Amino acid sequence: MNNRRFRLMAVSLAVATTAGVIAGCSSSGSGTSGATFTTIGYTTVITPGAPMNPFNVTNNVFPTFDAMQLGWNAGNSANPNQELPGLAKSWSLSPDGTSLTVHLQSGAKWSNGKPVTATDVKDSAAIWFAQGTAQTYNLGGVSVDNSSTVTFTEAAGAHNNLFETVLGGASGSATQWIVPAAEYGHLLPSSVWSTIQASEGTGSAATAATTTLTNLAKTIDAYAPKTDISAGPFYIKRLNNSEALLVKNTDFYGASKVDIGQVIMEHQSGAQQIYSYLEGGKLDAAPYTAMASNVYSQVLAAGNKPVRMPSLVASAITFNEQVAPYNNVKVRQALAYVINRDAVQKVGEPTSGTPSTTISGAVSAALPDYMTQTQSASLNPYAPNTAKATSLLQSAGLKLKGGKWYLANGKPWTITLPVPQGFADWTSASSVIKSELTSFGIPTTITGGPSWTEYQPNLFTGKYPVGWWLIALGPGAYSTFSRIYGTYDGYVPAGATVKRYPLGNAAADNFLNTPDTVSVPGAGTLNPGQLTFQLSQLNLGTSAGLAQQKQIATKIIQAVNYEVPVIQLWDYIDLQFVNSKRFSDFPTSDTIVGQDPGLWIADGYVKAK
Amino acid sequence: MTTTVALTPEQLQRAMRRSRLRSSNRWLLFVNSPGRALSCLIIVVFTLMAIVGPYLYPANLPINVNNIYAPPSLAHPLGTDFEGADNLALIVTGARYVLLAAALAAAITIVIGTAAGLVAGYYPRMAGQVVMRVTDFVLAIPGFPVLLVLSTIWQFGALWEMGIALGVFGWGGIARAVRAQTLSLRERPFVEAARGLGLPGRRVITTELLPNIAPYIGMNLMLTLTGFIYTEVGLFFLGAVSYSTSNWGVMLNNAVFQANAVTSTRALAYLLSPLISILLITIALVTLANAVDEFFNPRLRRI
Amino acid sequence: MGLARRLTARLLWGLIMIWLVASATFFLLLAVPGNPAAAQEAQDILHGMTPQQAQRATAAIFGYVPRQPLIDQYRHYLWQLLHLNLGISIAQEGTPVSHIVASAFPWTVVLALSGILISFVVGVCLGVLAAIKRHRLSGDALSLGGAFVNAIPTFVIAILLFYLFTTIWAIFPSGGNVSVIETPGFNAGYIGSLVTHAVLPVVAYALAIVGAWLLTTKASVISVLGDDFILAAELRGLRRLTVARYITRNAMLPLFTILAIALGLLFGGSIFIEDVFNYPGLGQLMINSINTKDFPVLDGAFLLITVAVILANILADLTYPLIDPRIRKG
Repeated sequence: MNNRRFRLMAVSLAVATTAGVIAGCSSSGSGTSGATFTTIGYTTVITPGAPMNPFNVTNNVFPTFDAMQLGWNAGNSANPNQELPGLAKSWSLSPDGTSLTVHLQSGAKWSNGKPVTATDVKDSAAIWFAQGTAQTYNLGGVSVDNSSTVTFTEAAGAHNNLFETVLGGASGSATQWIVPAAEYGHLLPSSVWSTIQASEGTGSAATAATTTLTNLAKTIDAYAPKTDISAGPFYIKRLNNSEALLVKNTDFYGASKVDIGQVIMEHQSGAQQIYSYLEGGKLDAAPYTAMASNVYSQVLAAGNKPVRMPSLVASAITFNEQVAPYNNVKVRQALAYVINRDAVQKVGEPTSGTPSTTISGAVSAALPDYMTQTQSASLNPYAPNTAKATSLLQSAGLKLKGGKWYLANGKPWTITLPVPQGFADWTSASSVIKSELTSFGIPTTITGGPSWTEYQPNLFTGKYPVGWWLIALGPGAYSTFSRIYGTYDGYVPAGATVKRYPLGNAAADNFLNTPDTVSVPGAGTLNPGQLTFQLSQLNLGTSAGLAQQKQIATKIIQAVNYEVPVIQLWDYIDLQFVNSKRFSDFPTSDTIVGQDPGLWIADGYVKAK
Repeated sequence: MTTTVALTPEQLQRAMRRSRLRSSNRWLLFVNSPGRALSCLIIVVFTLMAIVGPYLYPANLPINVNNIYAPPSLAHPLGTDFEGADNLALIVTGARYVLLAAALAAAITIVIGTAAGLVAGYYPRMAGQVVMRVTDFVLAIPGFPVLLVLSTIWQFGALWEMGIALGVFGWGGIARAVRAQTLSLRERPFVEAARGLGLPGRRVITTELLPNIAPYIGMNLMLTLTGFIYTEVGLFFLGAVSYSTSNWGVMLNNAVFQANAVTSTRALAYLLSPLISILLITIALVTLANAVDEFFNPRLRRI
Repeated sequence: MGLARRLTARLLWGLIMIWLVASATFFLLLAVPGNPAAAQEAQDILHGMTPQQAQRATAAIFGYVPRQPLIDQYRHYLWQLLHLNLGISIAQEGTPVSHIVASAFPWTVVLALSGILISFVVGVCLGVLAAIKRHRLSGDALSLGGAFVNAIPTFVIAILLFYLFTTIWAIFPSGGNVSVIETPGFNAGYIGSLVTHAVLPVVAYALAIVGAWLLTTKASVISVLGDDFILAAELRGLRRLTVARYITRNAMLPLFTILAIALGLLFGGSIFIEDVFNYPGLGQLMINSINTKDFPVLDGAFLLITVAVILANILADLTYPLIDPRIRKG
C-alpha cells in the first residue's frame, strides 16, 4: 500500500515537471523586435467575442493605443477646453467661437499604410451624430477643407462655450473616435448627412430621421472589423479571452518616438486580480485601482511606484430638501458636524481618496482655480463637533430624549442610508456614518441591495431623503457645480436661459429641491441655479471669461458651504502605479499622466531599460 | 415470510421497540471519542450563537477607525475588521443568518425529500414514477447557478428567503437516497408482513419505514447542512447578492476582495475568523454524520 | 426492446424539463428590476459624460424595446429557442447569446471533466484504502483528510492555489486560458500554454470534489466488505490485491449514479474557479453578466448548464445498466 502512495506522488510530480517544462518553452516563444510593455486595459475590459470597434459599448480596443481621437481632453479644472493633440496636430477656433478648423498630423497613417484623411474624420463625425454624441457638443456640420484639414461648425443658434472639446474627451471618457472610412464608410448611406440635417429639425420628419439614425447606430455598433486598422501607436495583432497582444504600428505618425515593440494587455475581472498582478510585479503600468492600506503597502513592496493625481470628482451625501427635517439648513449643518469625514475616508477610500477639507461643491485641489486663498480659508471646515450639532438641532426645534433625537413633530428621527450594490467604498463608508449617527442619537440603518439601475431612478424621483452621489465632476466650473445646481436640482438650460422644474418632472431629475434663492451670511442673497447656468455662458477662451468664472464660482462655493445641500465627504485621488524595473522615463506632468499610457508612449515617454 | 407471518403487527412492533431500547447504550457512540465529543460541543456552541448571538452585542457595534485590521488581542480575541469592529462580535452576531437559513433549508429539504422518497419508494408504480420525475427535475437544476440567477430579482435580505430558496432546490438528493432505501426496505420481511396484514400504506410508511430510514436522513441532513452553508456563504462571497447586515459570507467577501487578506498577513485574522468557523462546523457535522452512520450500522463500529 | 422505450421516455422527459427551465428563465427575465439601458447610462455618467450626453448616447445604443403582449413575447422566445437562438446580448450589442455561450461552454466542460476524472481516480483509490485500513491510524488519517478537504469551500481552494502558485511561487500563469504571445494552432508553444493555464483550475476542480469521492467510496466499500462473496474470497485465501479488486468493482457501481450529480456541483464550482483564475468559461460568463446586468447572457448560460446536466443524467441512467450486470438482467 505504501507503493501506491508513492506512485500517486510520482504522478503529481510528473504533472508538475511537465508543466514547468512547458512553461519554460512558452516564455521563450516568439520574438518581436522592441521591448514588451505589460499593462491592464485602463478602460477596456477584454471581452471574448466583442468587436474591435470603438463604437460598441463592449469593445476590444484600447484608447490611446489603437483607438484614437483628434485630441484628448487634458482634464484641466480651470480650463475645460484644454486638449492634448491626438490625430489633430493643431486647431484654431474662430473669434466668435462657432467654427473650429483642425489640421491633421502630417504623415498620419493607418496601420495598413493608407493615410488618415479629412474624409475619415467626416465619416467618423457622421457616426457621432448617429450615436447621439455629436449633438451634445452642438456640432452642426463638418466640411472637408483639403485632404488634411476639416472644419467643424456649431449648430445654428447654439452657444456652447465648450465647443473645442468636440476634438475628444479624456482617454477615460472618450467618444469621438476617428475610424477609417475604408472600413466604416460602406455602412453609411449616401444620404446620411441629409438625414442628420433632417433630425435637427422639428415635426414628424425629424422623428423619422432620428429613428433612421438610431437604426444606423445599431448597425455601426454591431460591426466587427476583421482586423484592427489603427491610426495609433499600436494595433491589435491577436486577442484571446484573457489577453490582447498589440504590436507597434510602424505607420504611426510618431512612430520614431515609440520605443516599445509590443504591448500585452491583461484582462481583469476585478480589483483583486489587479492586486495580484501588482504584487507579482508583472505590470509596467496599472490603472486607477482603489485598495485598502494593507494592500497598498504590499503593492509598494513589490516595487511599484504610486502616481497620485487629484481626480476631479468627490463623494457626497445628498438630501432631498422637500423632506423634513432636511429642509432645515441647521439640520444639514448639524449632520455635517456629526459626520467625521476623516474617519469616513479612512475606511471608505483609504488610499485613493482624501477627506474633503470643507464642503464646497468642488474638489479641494480645484479650489485655487475658483477662489483666492483668503476666501477659501474663510469657508467653514465643519470640523467634527457634536456639541455644535446638538445646539444647532435644538435651535431647529428637535429634541433629545433618552439619548435619541426626536423631530419637531415628536416623531423619532431615524435615517435610512441606501447604498447601491457593488459600490464597495460607499458600503464601507456608510458603515462608519451609521455608527457615528447612531451613537449621536439618530438610529441609522443601511439598506444595501438596490443595483445602480434601481438606485438611480429611486434617487432621482425623491424616494431617498438621504442618499449617496458623486459631485464636483470636472473639468470646468460649470460641469463641477451643475452636479448640484444643475439638472439634479431641476435647472435645465433652454437656449440662453435656464428653466427650473420641480421634483417629479421628467424633464429634470430634481431630487435635491434646494430653495430658489438662499441668503448666505457675508455674500447676500444668491440664486445658485442661475449662477451655475451663467458659468455655461462664459467665453473661457478669454482671460475675462476665466476671471468671471472665478467670481461666479466663489459665490456658488459660499452658497454650498453655508447651505450644505450635500455633505461632501472625500475627494478622489487618481492612484496609478508604474514599475521602473523594465522601463524608465515615465511621464511626471499631471496632464499626460492622467491619460492612458498609449499617449505617454506616443509622446516619447517610457523607454526600455 | 413464513417466520414473520406468525407475529401480529402489535407483537412485531413490540419486538422492534425492544430491540431499539436494548441498544440505548449506542448513544455513547456520539461521545466515545474526543473528536466526537468536541464535535457535539461545537454544534451546541454554534447553535446557541445562532439563537442568542445577536442579543449579546449592541445592535450598533462599536468601531474604531484607528484600529483597522488589528491582530488578535485581549480586547479583540479575533482581531478587528475594516472599520475596527470586533471580529468575534461579527462572528457571533453573523451566525444567525448563516446557520438559521441553512437549518431552515435543511428542514424543508428533509420534509419534502423524505416524503417524496418514501412515496416514490413505497409506490414504485404510477405515483412513484411521477414523484421521481419531479425529483429528477430538481436534481437537474444546478443549485448554485440557479441561486445566482434568482439573485437578480431577489436579494435574499431575510434569512427565511435564503432558507426557502436553498431548500426548494436542495431536496433532490435526499429524495433519491430515501427512495433507494425504501425500495430495499420494502422487500424486508417485516414490511412485507405489515403489508400482508393489510395495514394501510400511510401507516406502513410512518410506523415501519420512517423509523428505519431515519438514520439515513439524519446522516444526509448533516451533509446537506454543510452544502447549504457553502452555497449561501458563496453567494455573499461572490458579492452576487448585496447585503445590509454582516454575516460570515460578507466577512469573507470583504476580507478577500477589499483587504486582500490572502496575501496580507495584516488582515489574516479577518479572513480566518469566518473561514475557521465554517470549517469547524463542517468538520463537526461530518464527524457526527459518521457517528450517526455507526449508530445504525454496526458493521462500521470498532470491535 | 426495453432500451429503445426507455430511451424515448427519458428523452421525452428531458425535453419537458428543458422546456420548463426555459420558461422559468423567460419569466424570471421579465421580473428583473431596473433596466440595463439605465445601467449603461449610469456607467456613462460615472465615466464622465454629462447626463444629457449619457441619455442620448444610451437611447441611440439601445433603441426602444417594443411592447408586445406577454404571450406573444413568450411564443416568440420559445420559437427562437427552437432555432437555438437565445437572443442578443445587451452588454455586447448585436452579438447573439448563443454565440457567446457556445464559445464559453467547451472551456468549462473540458476543465470540469478533467477535474472529475482526476478526482474520481484519486478519490476512489484513497477511499478503498481508507475503508480497508479503517481500524488503523492511516485509515483514520485518510478519512479525516478527506473530510477536511471536503470541508474547504471551493472558492477558498481556488484562491489558495491561485496565490500559492501564481503570486508567491509563480510557476503557473496567473489566469486566462492561453498566452496571447503564442500563435494559435497546433504547435508546442500554444498547446503547452493551454495546458499550463489549465493545470491550476483542474487541480481546484479535483480538490473540490475528491473528498466527496473518498468518503462515499469508503462508505460504499465498507458496506460491500461484509458481503458473502468477499468473505468467501478471503476464506479461500485469495491474494489481498485480488480481493481489493473485487471490492472496488462492486463498491464503485453506486458511484456512477452520483457522477451526474457531481457534474451539477462542478458547474456550481466553475463559477468560483473561473472567477478566481480568470478563465473564460460559463462560470465567469455568468458572473460577468450579473455584473453588467446582461440578463440574456446570464439566462442563456444557465439554460445551457441545465441542459448539459439533464443530458448527462440521461446518459448516466442509460449507461448504468451496461456497467452493472445485475441491473441489465433485472
